Amino acid sequence: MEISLKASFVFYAVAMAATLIGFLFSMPGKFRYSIFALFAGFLSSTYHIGARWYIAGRAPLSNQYESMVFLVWAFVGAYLLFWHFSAVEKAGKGHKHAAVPGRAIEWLAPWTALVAVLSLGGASFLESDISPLVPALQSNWLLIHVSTVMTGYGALLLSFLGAAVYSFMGKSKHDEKKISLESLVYRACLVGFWLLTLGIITGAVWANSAWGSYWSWDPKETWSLITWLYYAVAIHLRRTKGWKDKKFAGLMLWGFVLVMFTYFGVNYLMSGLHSYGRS
Amino acid sequence: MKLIKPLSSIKFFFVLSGLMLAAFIIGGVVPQGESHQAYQEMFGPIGGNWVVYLRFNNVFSSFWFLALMAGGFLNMLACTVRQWKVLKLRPGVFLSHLGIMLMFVGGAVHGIFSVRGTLALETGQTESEFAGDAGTPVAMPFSVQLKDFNIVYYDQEKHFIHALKKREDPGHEGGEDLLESVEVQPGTEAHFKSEAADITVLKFYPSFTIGDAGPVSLSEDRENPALAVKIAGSKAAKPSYLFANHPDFHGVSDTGGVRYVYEYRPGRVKQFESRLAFLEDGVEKFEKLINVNSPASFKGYRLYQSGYDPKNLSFSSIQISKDPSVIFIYSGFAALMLGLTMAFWKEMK
Repeated sequence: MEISLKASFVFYAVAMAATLIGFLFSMPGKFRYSIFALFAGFLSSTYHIGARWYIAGRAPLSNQYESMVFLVWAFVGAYLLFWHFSAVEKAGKGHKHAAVPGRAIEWLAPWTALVAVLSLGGASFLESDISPLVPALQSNWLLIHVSTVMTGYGALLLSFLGAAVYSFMGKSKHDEKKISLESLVYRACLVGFWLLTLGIITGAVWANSAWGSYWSWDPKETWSLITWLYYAVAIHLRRTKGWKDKKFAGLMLWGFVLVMFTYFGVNYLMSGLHSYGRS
Repeated sequence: MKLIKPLSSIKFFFVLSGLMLAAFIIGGVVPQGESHQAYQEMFGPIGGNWVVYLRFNNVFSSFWFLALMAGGFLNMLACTVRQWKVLKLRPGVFLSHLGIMLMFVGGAVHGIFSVRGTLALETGQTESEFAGDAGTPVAMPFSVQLKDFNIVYYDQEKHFIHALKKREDPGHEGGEDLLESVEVQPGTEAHFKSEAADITVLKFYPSFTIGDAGPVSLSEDRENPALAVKIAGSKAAKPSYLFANHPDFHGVSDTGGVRYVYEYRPGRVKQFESRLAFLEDGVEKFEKLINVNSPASFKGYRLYQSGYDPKNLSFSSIQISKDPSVIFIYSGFAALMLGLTMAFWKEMK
């Protein structure tokens, strides 16, 4: 089973190397090889998660290691979905409107691979033993709640990555790729925010069914709400005050700092109802 | 009507959101619900006093936080009233705002009408009131009896005795070889195939101590697990004691230089569950087995398995709540999700 995760790591590393070699030798279609490698890594991670699920007899989402592997899987999956739909849109609609992400998303392929490699490398330092669930986690809500939150984090990570690349691009405002990348940043933010909302709601419903209280102001809940409100304000700033381009990219960069603190910081620095997540 | 314009303004929304973010961060960083003294230790005498004075110790029930929440509700309500013509054309935005307003209403209903507390029951005990979170007893329109409490394990606890013998290697002093390990049960005899003597396990002490009448267990909690054993061939008339937390205490036996070490492996709890009977006027209406994630409901009250006492395995701690706000909150959740889906779907296309 672990070999499948190592294979993912190698595929993601190959995705990075493919772009690098493509640039060095000015190869056409350099991103295509990266995306193929990313897809292979995603399939390999899918097998890993499925096998772990089968062996454990439960969804592999009960500790930091499992959630991190799932997060990387969701992040790469979100990237591939955006890539797929951008291709479909472009093929179907031509260049009717500049908001279509188009092939600018391909620029993110090596960066997506880099984040995946670093994250899986980090996950390898965590405790990876399969252990039985504590009573509080024995619920179908575990799958629904954690998977929606992690997929939301994956989409917000994609928005962050797009924002980071956008921030370092040149000044030309009419560059089609730049405009389409900006649109991708916003779309990924919307998807991430929608999933984060669903994740917080499913967590509240689960808490109510397990403890009789849908909200306890536990540190994880509080920081999730901080993150949620931040992204809600960012979306309102864009829609009502026209904060686009670099301003919105800046909001996405800072927003992901909150996501990371909610995910890692709270687990390691604060104790509460979600403390089992750190093990 | 003059008030509607400033109340509904987007500027007011951003100001409120900034204040709410600040409040959440304060509540997320400053430990909540600690004693005054604890804050003085954390932030110094003056800082601790300010934390308590500004209610940073209980942010989420402070007057200023509740005022912020009320402001948020008014902002959304005023925005909905003022922008009604626009919102009619954007049902997604309207529904998501409605969802959040319903949650604000739910929060208010929760604060005013919800009842919550703990029911502490021993097996066989019947209670018709519970200890509310404020510390006062709350009467229920029925009685609850704990018929049985049970802990289910993935693996039951296990006891092992390891037989060790000093290594007969002149070049290495102090080392021991493991001769054999045997799983034992209290009240049975353990047979070793090696040169180690057979052992009869007389008794298990979960929390060993010496009382007036000799060795006793303080409680059922596994704080100091020990076994009283009789080693075959030993000249000692009294039992020997092996301690899991102090493997060197027993020393080498007098039956051939073998040292016996006791290892206690705790069981892994899978679930803990209480069988409850619900009674009205002394008549049992129904019985329900509750466990974590599977509560019982009766007459608007919900009972949740929340804990147990490892020192007293006939005790069960049950959370009880009656919360009429849940319908508002869940309706708010549904409206918010539906609204966001509609609003975002339009933008994603």
